[in-house]
Amino acid sequence: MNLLRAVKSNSLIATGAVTLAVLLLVALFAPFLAPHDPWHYYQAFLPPSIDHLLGTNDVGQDIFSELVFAGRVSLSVGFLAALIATFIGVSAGTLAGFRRGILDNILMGMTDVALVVPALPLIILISVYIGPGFFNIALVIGLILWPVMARVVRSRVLSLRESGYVESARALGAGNWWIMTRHVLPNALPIIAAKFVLTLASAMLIEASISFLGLGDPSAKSWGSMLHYAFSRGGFIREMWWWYLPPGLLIGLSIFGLNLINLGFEDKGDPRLKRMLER
Amino acid sequence: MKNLLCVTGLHVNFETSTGAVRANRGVNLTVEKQERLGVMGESGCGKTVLMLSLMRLQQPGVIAKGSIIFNGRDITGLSENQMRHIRGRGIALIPQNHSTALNPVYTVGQQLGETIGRRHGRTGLWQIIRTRQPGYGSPAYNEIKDLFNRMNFGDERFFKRLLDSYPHELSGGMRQRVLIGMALLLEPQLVIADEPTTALDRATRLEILELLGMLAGKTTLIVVSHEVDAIKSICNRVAVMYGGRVVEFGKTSAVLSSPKHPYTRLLLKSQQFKRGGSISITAGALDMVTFPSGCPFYPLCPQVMPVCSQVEPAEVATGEGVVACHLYHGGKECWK
Repeated sequence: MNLLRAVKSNSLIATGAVTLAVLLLVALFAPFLAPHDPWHYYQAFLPPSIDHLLGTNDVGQDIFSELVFAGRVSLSVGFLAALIATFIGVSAGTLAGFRRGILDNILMGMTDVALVVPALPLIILISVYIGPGFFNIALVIGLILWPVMARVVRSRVLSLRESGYVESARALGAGNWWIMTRHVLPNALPIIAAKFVLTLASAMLIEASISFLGLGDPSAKSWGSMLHYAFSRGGFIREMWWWYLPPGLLIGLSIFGLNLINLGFEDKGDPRLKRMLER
Repeated sequence: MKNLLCVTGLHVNFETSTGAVRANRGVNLTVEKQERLGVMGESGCGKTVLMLSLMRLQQPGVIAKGSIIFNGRDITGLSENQMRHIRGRGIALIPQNHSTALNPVYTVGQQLGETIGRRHGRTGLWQIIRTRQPGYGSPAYNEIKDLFNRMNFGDERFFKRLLDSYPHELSGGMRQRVLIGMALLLEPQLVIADEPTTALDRATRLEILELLGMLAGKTTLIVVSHEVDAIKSICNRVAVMYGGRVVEFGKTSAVLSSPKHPYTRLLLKSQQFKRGGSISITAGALDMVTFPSGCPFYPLCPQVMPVCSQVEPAEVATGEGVVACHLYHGGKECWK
């Protein structure tokens, strides 16, 4: 109920959430919305028509149906990767910020190393090494994105661990585990949620990049892999904009929606930003 | 076992880049069972550090010397895990600042319920994840209600609304009452109230302190406060602290009506509001790193003697109490 109220009260969050919800629903009900089987071969290189709304690709697959189904892979890889990154990042950040000491040094040293190494070349390297596949890609992206989350959570936990209610909980005999899960994490939740949305956006963008480079799962259709085929099989040269433009736009639209949600969260937390936007 | 708590020669230091800040320099204190002890002293005299040390929550301060015997056991050497079992059930703390001491994301009911759960030793993963407000009529609900009944919040509707409230929806006085209730729900042997009323207005202060005295029942209580009236009505003994030491300790009636230590006299005088202004003890704060030799109070003392700047006075028994001042060495006052 609170979430619904937050969405209603903030036009940024509302716009972003509606955009994302539409994309998610389309992906969820893809079999009902797609006019054709995206794996069926029709005549190749057809221009848009009533029967094939966005024409067909180099092997004769209906592009509109491909687009509808590709959303499933793009979104689910993004979500899975963001969940992995959030889980690792929140655990590491909370532990590091709360326990301090040697554990903090080790964990934050790891994030420093991971942050210094450029992400995309590393992902390309790892995904080539462990091979393509739905879970492999999600795992690689998740493993690349967790340090940012860990940093953000740690800095929040550092301030929360000094708060009055943590001290009073300790004075009433609460242990570390109890305080971390009951009193520190719930208060860090807003910042985790905002960061999760951003992580999701990065994950989707990275997934699209990997697939565009042809390192994605070859058996699955994603917006990035559609761009890959449009690029490598002559879509760009033949100026078949109905082939390469829609997947690019959909990637852009989902990132846009996610960033709006994140902006809305930040705007709720930081009034200065709101004034800046109104100007 | 008459004494519940016995502090002897407690030294607590805070290491800083300019040297160790000596917040407590040999505190001696005894608290008998079912006693109400008041602790007075100016800001920076080491009261709060002492109170936190009693719960071993003085970090980053280090207990350098001395012992804290609670229930016949020296707790200065206990592990963090052993201390966890003493905190709450053995010694409970009522925090100073009511506005930060409650978690903003839980209702009052959830936090009181959490406290009761802790008493029943429910610290499993499931209880940690599931924060539940005690349901209407449940044992926990009734227990909280009994307590708040004694605080004169008998109205059922009001009480239910209180449980459903988030901390920011309550007034300061109400929050402080919740915090007192929270500490008492654990049925601790010793309750430490560290200036429980500093963030409240004067009218509410006295009310809260008297409520505390009443609710504590047979629980042993240590109250840090500057409200002389409240201390007079609640406490049976008073300790006055200055410069990290207890300078005077004795029966409330004796200390407040005929103070022995010159500092206590000034402190009490400074609290009397008179036409023409009250007396203030000025000279800036003590340098807690490089303590002057001798009595820490001698630069300000109206009855200073040559010996005061040389030798730190030992504690002398004077009838009902103890006082650390050269005036009483030899058991008699040697000033005119």
